[in-house]
Amino acid sequence: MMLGFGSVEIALAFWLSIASTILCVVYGIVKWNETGNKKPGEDA
Amino acid sequence: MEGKILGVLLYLGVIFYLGYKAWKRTKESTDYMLAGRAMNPFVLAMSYGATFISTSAIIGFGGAAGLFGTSLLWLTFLTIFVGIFVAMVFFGKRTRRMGLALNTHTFPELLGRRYKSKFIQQFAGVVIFVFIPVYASAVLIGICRMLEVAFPGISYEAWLLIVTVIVALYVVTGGLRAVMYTDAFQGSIMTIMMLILIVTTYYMLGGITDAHQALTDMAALMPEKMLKGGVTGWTTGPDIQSPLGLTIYTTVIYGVGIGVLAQPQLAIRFMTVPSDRELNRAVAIGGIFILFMTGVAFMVGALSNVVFFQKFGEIAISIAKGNLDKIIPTYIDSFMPGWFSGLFLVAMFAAAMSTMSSQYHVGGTSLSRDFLEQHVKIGNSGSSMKLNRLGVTIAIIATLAWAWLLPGGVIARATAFFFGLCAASFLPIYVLGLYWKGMTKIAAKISMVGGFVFSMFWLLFVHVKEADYIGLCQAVFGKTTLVADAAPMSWPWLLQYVDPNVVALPVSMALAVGVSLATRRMEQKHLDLCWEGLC
Repeated sequence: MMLGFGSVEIALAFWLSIASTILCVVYGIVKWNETGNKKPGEDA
Repeated sequence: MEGKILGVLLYLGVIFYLGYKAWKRTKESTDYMLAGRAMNPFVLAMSYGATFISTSAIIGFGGAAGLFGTSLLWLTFLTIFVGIFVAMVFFGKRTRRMGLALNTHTFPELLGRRYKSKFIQQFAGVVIFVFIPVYASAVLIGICRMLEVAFPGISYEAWLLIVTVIVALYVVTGGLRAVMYTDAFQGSIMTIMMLILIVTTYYMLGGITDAHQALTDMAALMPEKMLKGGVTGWTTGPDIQSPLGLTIYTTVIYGVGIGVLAQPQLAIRFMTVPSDRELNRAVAIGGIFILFMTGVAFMVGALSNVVFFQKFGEIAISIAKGNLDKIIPTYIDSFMPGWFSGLFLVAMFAAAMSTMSSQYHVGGTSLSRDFLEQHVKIGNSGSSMKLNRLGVTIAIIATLAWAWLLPGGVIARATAFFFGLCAASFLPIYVLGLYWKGMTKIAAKISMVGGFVFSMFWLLFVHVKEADYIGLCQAVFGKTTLVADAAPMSWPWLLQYVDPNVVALPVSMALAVGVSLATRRMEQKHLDLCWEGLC
């Protein structure tokens, strides 16, 4: 988990960088085709 | 040398082809200012990322990681999580929809129409037009210094002119479409080069964990001056209650990491796509892109210490003779293959051009659309486009003038100035304008002007980096900053190292909320229009 870093604080920043990239990729894939445009008859 | 020349010529050939393609498709002002609201997700993501990441983010901040260590990874995390995820998901979608509902073409116009205030539009436009050329000149100076070293036959002054003319050609003619097409190409080059750089570095050091461990084991070699400033090692966090710790956490990590949300040249991109789908896809592409930029630059910058020490027995900053900006270029010249350094120069050229082109564009349209068009009667879309081209040309000339006149040190501080001013002035009224119907016109004006004034005050009288350089505090009060004579290492004394955003942003946010609660809501009909299409 520490990956050779000297403190938890830095290892955490490293893992959070990877995790936030994965979050971005997963979000993008899950919502790949969502246009966000209203369907007919739907309220805003 | 032939390889470098060939690489640059090939690169420029593609840039001009893309610029020409964009020019052919730019017929009216919506094309010029918003790329016809028809960009695809790949171009959006790469353009957003390449605009955000300039040469200085890679060379300058990468070099800073060589000196301060991997604590800069917190900035990598924020640039991905805040700069991409929060920005696109929570700001981007609402900005796109509200921008469409209010038919806005620029960031100041979005703020102005949201609050039905010409003052807000003009004030924001003028702040952006006045300060962004100074910020752009920092990028211009950086790349011209690199080109001067790579091609010694051509002087620095000549490079200033050459680079300006090259970027001006496609920005003035092709508008935002040209900027974004070329950004996407430039971003692709940057990604490939950074990928090669990180894989090679880890490979040279025997893998990820071994590389980090070797850097951890070098803590005893950290220079005495850095230890006194609060840095504890290359793979451990700095002491927060120290000048360097506060600079790293408040200016580098918080200032840039949060400041990204209120950058007009980035926010405008949310309005260039036809639906949320493009933004959703851009989140995935942008997240990977930024990891490859800031993540790789900061890791390689820090790990260069291990490689330099193993080969030459010295740490990075000693090899670079005390100049942070030389750490990454020296590392590449010393340890990467010859073809790589030629292509890396092209990648850095691309990083600079993609940031500058967007700065020119947003500065120019702020002048023309948000200021001049409010005072000059515009007949049709064609006249508006002519005025925009004039605005962009003026922004380009202003940037060149700044780059020519001011020494590098002053210019570098301008980047902090721009991020600080934008965040304190625009972020509260931007985010509350997107999410809170209770936000009022008068509160928006007071928050924007209050944030601007407070940020300026902190930069001129408290934050030592700018206050010392500008010298206004010295001239008025006879000391570099207002807290310069407090007891060293006490909290009042340490305020000199706290970024303006840490103080000015909460002040402007408090003004926005407090004044809104005490003043009359905006009319419901207007709010309904703003919220049309918002979830």
